[in-house]
Amino acid sequence: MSIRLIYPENRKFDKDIHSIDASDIKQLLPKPHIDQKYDISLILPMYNVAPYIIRCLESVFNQIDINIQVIIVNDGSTDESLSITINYLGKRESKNAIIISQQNRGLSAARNIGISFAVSEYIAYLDTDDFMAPDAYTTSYNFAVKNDLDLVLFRSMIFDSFNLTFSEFYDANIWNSILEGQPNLITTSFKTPKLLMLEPNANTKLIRRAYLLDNELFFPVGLLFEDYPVHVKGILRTEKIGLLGSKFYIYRTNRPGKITDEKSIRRFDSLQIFDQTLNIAYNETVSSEQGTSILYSLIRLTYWCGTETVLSDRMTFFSQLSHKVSSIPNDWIDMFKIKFRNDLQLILLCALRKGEIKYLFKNSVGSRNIFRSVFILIQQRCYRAFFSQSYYYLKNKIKILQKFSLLV
Amino acid sequence: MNKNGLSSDFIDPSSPSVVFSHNNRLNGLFINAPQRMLKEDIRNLENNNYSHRLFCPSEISIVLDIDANSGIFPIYFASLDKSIHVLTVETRQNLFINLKETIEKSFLSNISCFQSLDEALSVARDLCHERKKYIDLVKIGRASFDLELLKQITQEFEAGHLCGEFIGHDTTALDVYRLSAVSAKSFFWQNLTKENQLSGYGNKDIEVSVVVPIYNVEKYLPKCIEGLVNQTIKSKEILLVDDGSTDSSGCIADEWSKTYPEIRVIHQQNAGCAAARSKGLSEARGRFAGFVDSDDWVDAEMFEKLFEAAVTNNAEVAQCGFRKVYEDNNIIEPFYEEVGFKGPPYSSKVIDDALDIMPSMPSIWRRIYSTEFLKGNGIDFLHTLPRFDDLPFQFEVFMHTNKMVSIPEIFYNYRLGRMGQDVAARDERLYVHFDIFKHLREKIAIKPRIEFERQLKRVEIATHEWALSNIEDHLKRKYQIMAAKDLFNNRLMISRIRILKDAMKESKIKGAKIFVALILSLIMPRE
Repeated sequence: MSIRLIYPENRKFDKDIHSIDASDIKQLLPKPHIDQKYDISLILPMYNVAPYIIRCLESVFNQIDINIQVIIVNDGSTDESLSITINYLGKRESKNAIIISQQNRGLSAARNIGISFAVSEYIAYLDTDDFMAPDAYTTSYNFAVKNDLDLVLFRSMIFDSFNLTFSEFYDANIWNSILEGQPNLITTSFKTPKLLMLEPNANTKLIRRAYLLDNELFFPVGLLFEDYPVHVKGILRTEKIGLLGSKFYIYRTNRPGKITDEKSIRRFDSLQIFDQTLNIAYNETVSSEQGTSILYSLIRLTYWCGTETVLSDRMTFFSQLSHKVSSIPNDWIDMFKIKFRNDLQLILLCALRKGEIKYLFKNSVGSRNIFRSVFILIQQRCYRAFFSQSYYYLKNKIKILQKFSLLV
Repeated sequence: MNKNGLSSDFIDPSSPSVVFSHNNRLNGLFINAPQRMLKEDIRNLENNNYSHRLFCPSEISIVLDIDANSGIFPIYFASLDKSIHVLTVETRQNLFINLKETIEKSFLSNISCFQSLDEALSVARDLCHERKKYIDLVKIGRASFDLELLKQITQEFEAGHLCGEFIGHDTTALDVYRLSAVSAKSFFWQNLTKENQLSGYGNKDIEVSVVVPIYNVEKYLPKCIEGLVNQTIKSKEILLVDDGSTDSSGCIADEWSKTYPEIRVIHQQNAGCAAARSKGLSEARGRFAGFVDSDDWVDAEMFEKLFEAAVTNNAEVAQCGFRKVYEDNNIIEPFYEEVGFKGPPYSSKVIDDALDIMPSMPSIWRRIYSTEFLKGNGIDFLHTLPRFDDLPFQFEVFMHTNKMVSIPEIFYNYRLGRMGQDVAARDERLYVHFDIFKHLREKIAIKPRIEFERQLKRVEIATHEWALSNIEDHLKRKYQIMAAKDLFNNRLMISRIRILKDAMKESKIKGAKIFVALILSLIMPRE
């Protein structure tokens, strides 16, 4: 498989520079020299994003007071994405950009290839249908350099492409409880295990290149949800993590004509991700607090994936997941019971642990069985959760009774 | 947020520093501004109530701001980039003086304020000399908002993005929508009366396409077409799909299309109603598509009102009421929605969860559907079905829709009791129901939700009951057995007990019969 490099400023297209084996990225890595010309290397994997690519590139090229090495990896787009990009770069006469064009091999492979061309001290990723706030990279780069950080995380927003509205990202509550009102924070995952509960997204990070290479923070090729293992490993391995409270990354949702129904089988990737992420956690010998945080976000991911599979796959999915959950160490589970006693995730975990496949199946199609939930909680000795769940249940019952004015 | 209650001590959510994180020097400028106005402006900027975050500073060269209020909006834009020219208009005297002072203190040279719109527009004209007349961002506050003002600006200038707020009922909202969709690339208005937003992208497409499948209806066709060409909505197309009629229907359609350019006639070999509708839908170029049966007719306001309801509520589907017209004895009775409205409804209603109205009778012809929504979810008519293709179409639409709006007015006239109409079938043709439900079960298995199946079972019960009351006597027995099997044996997630419960509740047949059906289904093997 050959990779073609395109230099837009020279207008020499389709020039083969070398053939490389895509699976072996380590051989590809350039000598670890750092080019002082650039502050950040930004990797932009691109696949069929013609309507959105200009907005994304605009937001990258208009970052204030910063030199960005822009690495665009065209992952075999079948629409006009590539020609639009070439035109745009030609118009901007940018000397800082390269385009790598390869056959379609998936997001992970595209990002990994991008890493091998990055020469500056810090690396960031950006998906080409999303975009960035105008001062995102400047602020986060200055923050990283000033405090000598390995990893910077910043917040995100959701942009609804149909209604043009902006809203809070899914992990807003976790961010709020970590930051406690401060604009930024320097911490470690040991001090703040909640870091591991944040939505793992490659686009909301700035990573030191040396740190990335030393710890092999590459994306698992060929799998969806590739951000999880890298996110966990990246957070666990360093003592220098900076959090920025600004909402820099803007995530586009509600793209028209996006059918996700056929992706059922790809949801099974999340089970492999589950294994990989847990293995990382075991190898790093994490504390049980860190472990439960990792477990929390994994259960959230995999259960959601389960609800997205088609009906015929669903039982298989949950039984495989349940099998994996049963091997998790007990002290994590005990910690989970204490930390998330008021959380619905606890019932899911207990059901998975007990192998209640049918219950999970019914739960995932929207048929809630509160008696069964309470029963599972008692069996798994989650008494506190049992009491709070029963309390909510009774409260709801009373509300319903009041509605029919049987009890006033 | 924080156990100590300190959460908001660090950043006051209503202070200018939230907006000017990139330029702290500007924080102190707004001490003299009216505080309530300032807070509101900051909230609007921070909550992105103008959707201005959609743009990069470099994409913008001219910003026109009418109603500067506290002045934070124009100063925010001027501070983003020196190449942005901000023109602000403030007609209120005291605010104007305040604004002038604030701008002077800010030392920003790329911002200028005026007391009248005409001055601002003449400066804008000078700024885009030689280039075409284009303003990148126009914001109009509620104090000055006026449709005429918006017209004045959009007639002379092309606009990139229109935003702001207005106080208005549905009709003005529709006017604002139309004006914005034609003259701007994107727009984001807040309708303060309805507390919703009116947003979208520039769109010069036809507003509504109406598809009419035609098969041997020469007697009724003229009245139907007349009702369509008389529609008050101006931007429309009428697609007459002649499904190989053997009478003069095809010629009638061609005749009409000569006088009215908005009519397009498609002739095809007889392939059934579903194929005709599907063909029409694939040819439709409108933002919304509607379907009218060729033996019915519609009132003149129907599509205007439906379009208005859909766009002002950002809904994918809009529906109105209908009348049942009995041909032979001239009885006309209005039909009210079983669910959603009790008795005659008086105002429009947004339906977020279409589950409630799923079991209602198939009536695809009284709605308009966003064509993008239909395409995005792959909803089409089933060519394989000889008839009753509206049942699965309606079910799939309800399964996928996020937002639907229902208006109380009655505009559609539904003719009943005509010979040869689908509804009047009494023979083996009714067995097609079993294929329909099989198809729908397959659809549900892709997006499984127990409520969908429950509703499907309710539809099944209602349909089978109706079929049994219509079917010829010698076929009744067989149909009964098949229906019992279909109801209780062919299921995905739902339990037999639940079906039984629902059946007892819904069905007018005596409970004993349903039990017999259940027992029958238990004895018989599964398919």
